[in-house]
Amino acid sequence: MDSVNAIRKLKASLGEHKVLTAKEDLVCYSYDSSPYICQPLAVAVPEKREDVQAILKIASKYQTPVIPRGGGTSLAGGSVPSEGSIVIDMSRMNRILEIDTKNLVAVVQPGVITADLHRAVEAQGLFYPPDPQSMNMCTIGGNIATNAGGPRCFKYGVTKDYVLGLEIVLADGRVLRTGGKTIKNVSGYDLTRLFVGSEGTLGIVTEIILRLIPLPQAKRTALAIFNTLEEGAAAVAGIIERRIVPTTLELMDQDNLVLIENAKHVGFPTDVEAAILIEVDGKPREVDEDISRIEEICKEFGGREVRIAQTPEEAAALWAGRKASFGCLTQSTRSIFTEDATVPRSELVNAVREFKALGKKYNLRIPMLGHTGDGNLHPSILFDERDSEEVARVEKCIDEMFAIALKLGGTLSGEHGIGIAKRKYIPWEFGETGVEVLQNIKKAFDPLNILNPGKVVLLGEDHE
Amino acid sequence: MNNEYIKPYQDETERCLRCGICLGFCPVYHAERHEGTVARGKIRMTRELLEGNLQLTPRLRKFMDLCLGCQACAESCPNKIPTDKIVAAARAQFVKDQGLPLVYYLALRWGLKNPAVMETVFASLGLARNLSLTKLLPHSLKEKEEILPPLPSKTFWEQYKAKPGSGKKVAYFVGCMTNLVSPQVGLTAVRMLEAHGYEVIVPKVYCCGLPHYSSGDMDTARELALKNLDIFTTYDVEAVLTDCGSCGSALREYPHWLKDQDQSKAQEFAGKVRDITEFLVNDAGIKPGSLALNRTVTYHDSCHLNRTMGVTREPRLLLKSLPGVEYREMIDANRCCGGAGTFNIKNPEVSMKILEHKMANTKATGADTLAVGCPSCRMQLALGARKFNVPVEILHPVELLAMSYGQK
Repeated sequence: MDSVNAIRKLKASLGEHKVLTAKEDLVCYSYDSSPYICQPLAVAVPEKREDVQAILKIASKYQTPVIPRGGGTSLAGGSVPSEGSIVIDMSRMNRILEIDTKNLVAVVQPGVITADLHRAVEAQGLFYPPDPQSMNMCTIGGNIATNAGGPRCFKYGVTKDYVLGLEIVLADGRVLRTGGKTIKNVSGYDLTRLFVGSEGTLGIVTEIILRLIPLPQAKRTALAIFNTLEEGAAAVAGIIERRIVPTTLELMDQDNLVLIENAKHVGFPTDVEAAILIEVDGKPREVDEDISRIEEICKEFGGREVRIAQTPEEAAALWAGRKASFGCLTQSTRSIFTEDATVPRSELVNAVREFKALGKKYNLRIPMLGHTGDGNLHPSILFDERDSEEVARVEKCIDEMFAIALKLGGTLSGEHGIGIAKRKYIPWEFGETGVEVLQNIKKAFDPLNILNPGKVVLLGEDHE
Repeated sequence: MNNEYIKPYQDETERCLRCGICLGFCPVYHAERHEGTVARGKIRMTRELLEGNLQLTPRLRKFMDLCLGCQACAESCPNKIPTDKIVAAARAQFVKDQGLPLVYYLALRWGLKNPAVMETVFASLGLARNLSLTKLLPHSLKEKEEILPPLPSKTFWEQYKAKPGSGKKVAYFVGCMTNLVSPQVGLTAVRMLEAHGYEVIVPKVYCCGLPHYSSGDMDTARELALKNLDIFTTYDVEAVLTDCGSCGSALREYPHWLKDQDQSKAQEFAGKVRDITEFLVNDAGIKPGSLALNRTVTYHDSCHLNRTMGVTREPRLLLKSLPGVEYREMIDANRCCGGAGTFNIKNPEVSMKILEHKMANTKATGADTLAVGCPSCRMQLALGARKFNVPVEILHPVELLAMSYGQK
């Protein structure tokens, strides 16, 4: 590793203005939304594919690690630098190159902010469904790195279901193109899918072809309130069994409802175990029918109350509480870990019950949100990072949480990614053979281990 | 160096969870896409400064200067961290430890501090323009000079005549920009108050101090605040009114500026400060005139008026109450126009990117009139209308109210 020469060469090749080394800049790129912090040696700011190629050629030559970064909103530490690394900030490559209304595809650069893409395609009556809740600040490149999901993904699928093709700069600076504008493509191995969710450990994406669909004409929203979690889960199963597919089925548990109601006074009940925010979309007549059938089904399964929004303003008011949830959590704590353990839908109630029991066991407050349609849970562990005894309890609690998720047939991460936070659990989910396959893939694309090293799967050193 | 200005914010900087929600709301970040331009980065840098890992360097100064003070970050922050106040404190720390650069020293401690000097400077600029001398300016200065709109031939004070009345008494605060750049707004506002049955007292005042506060010159900001407080304690009035969101927000913040001193006077005064539209709608009971305006109007929220003074509803109600006005809300009406006092002069490229966004949203409404309650925004928007070819007339809501009375 010869980082000093790598930076000197980078400045000569890209120009001083694209390579930042001031202490202030390094501080600004030492973190993401996870608790991890480490300063890089430099921040490179490419403006075109050729810049990325030049960076990787130099990084390879001097064996210097590079850390690709979009909005820096990873909750798992996916974009936190490692020691002696160079951050590649992709956010200046932020152009929407084409919205092809004949083929219903968009061609974009990785630094485009997800919500900006939403606005641009919706202006043409088109729809890009993946809606990670950081969509106002995260980037399409970051969404591809983590295969991001979101509330709408139960109905519409996740990021990987919309990526048709990629342009990738490989570790040695060569350019690889995968897929294209066609929906069908079975030529060779599916390299596009291999790169989606690879967290910048196999190559750096510089251009993306995304599938679009027509924008649904109408939406309806309801809030269903249940005395017990079991009733709520049964109602969700009932809705799906009767062939209604809502776009969102957002569960808030009692702890969450109490925190939100105390801070915001939005009219949430605090004496129930579950409230589920349900949204349907489609043609105007369809959604009207769907929402009244959902009301019937919720009542049939013991729903205490179903509030149906009659106007867009009323719908916004129902969403306001859910959207305020994160702020209400953060105001009640000093530090927070938001996890995304995911289980099969049928195991959701068991997972919530077992996570709650963990909170009791370790004396931690763990309010929960969940996308009930797809079994994706967001337990948030509230703690104080200055209290080392509490931090130790948090770590033990998270270990057990992941063991439970895997025991119930689930996964470590539904949508946030592995990053630094969950890499130690990878052998639990993959086993010896699985880890070896992951390592072999990593070595095939990145023999020098310079691409976001230490994330997802560890090479060389033993798994902790 | 003991960091006395930023130290009080240590706990706030440690409460940042780095969630990044501010990234989605910061107009500067949207234009620049550098982490140092947004609240999350500024908070982290301040924290590391307090921990001794960073110093007051020119690079840090640059990032602290790249802030509009629009408070969109503070408003969106789940933990309500007041980044605008942290940035102001950092700027004050720079001034305290390193002094003011000469140009700022002259502008803040001589020009903006003395009303007579300001009037002379503006009169000279008007004369220079009439003689086309401004064509001789070097390119960089010429761009800055162009930010100023055509200047009126007479200031507020050269035109204003006090009218004795018998109604309830209110005081009017005529800010520097109202006096020198848009005197017609102040004159119209006073006439409209009289039309609503009030006796208006217009004292000669000092600059509100906001340019000083924003530049970190806290000593002068406090000095001006105290001088203005002295002036207003001599009047027994129901309210103190402004047509400038920035002046109004500064007057409301006097207790915060003077937090190390006896605040009773500042608090009583701040409690009386109202925006003119706020007062007309909520206190006076607005009475629109009868002449139809036949205009399509949209409205831009001044950040100070919106986020410091909390005035958003009243100007819209005023506009919608006028005969012959079709009101159209623009997208992101509460997003900063990029003017932000002297931000546009210090950071012209970033400011133009932010302004372009605002003008595109204005254009999309199809409105022929853009209403705004702050002379600093007004200058910026006028520049935007010229630069990006958006055919709108830019007016203060009280000017439109006066038109419904047949006054111009």
